[in-house]
Amino acid sequence: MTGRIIPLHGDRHRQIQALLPWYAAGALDAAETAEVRDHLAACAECQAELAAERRLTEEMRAAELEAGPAGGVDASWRRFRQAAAAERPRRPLPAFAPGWLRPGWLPLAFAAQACALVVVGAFLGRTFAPAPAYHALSAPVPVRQGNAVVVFRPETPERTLRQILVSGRARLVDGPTDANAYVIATDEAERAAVLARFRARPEVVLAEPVDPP
Amino acid sequence: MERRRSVADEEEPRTVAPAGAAHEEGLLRRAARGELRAFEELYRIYHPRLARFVGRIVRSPELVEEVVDDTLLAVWRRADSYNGASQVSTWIFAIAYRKALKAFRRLDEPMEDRTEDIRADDQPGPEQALGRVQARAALLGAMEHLSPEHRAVVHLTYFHGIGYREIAEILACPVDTVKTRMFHARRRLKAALPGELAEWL
Repeated sequence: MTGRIIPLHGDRHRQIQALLPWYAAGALDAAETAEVRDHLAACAECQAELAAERRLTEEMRAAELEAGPAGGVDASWRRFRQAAAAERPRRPLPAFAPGWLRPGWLPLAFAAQACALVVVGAFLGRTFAPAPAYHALSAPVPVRQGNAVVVFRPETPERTLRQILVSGRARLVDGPTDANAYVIATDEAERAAVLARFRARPEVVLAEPVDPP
Repeated sequence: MERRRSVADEEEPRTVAPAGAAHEEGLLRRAARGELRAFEELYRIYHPRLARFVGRIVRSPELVEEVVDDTLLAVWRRADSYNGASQVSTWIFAIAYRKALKAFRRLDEPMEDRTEDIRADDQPGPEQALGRVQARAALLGAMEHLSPEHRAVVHLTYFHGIGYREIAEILACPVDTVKTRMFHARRRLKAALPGELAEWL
């Protein structure tokens, strides 16, 4: 279909005519509405056009409604709840947050935060080690400790995240952290190769080894 | 600018009180703070509107469902990036439009022409007088002959009562392009409609 733009300036009659669909829909502002009304009073062609517009608007709306209800909201909401449950609860920025913390900068800030987390972890050697405040006698003995940290792009669906982990025979040990990083455990001998494969994935922002204490 | 009332406000199934622009903005702000209940209200307001709109761009019902789900999930995820520069409705429809257009170009399959039988009857004679139901089906069928960009302009104007400036924002194009698309869309609708209906246009 043509993308040619019809020049609508210079001919007041044509300009008003072009506004008639929105006049009929009640979607013009007050000044334009008054302008169209004034023109209509003196233009038989536009009056006929408006009558056609009104009929078209009415029939279009009726046709849409007769095509059936736009249902399915309950099922859609259930699907949303499942998808949202897989994500960590949001922590909103305070209303006074400066502009550089607003979206746009967030992915960078979030990646930088994740990097900082890894560096600190490497120095302290125990950043990701579990340190339970309370340990019941019946608590199971942890069998695996994390040996790597991975950050996924925020829009990565849970299904893809799972596929990536499975592809590296990795298990989730902890996370998401405040920086949206996940601590994973993978076979020590294969760790470097697995992390290299993870880094090659577009969904992975960061994949670094972390050695437990 | 006060949001206009459209047929979508009056006749779509609704489980919440009628929402004005300020109320919708309040819901979105609360959703940005993680308030699921506020988001559910917004979800139930927009799901039927988006289902109609997306259904005019992509044709497969499964794809419509997927695009609407994706749009509303994106609204939840990006709620804190809404900066109030446009109305909530414009912001949400713009997300839906981008996703629907992408889905249309990637996956949508043409469906059978539902107006074929009606157009075949477009001969002089008593049968020329079409029933209202047939006429409305012909209108929707004629819409399917338009490009998705033109269908979006027609649907947002006639069904949702959205102004051309907001449509330009939703479609991310100049306002003159919106007017031009409407001009061409009406001309093509006229060409696709049976005789009596085409006389309106």
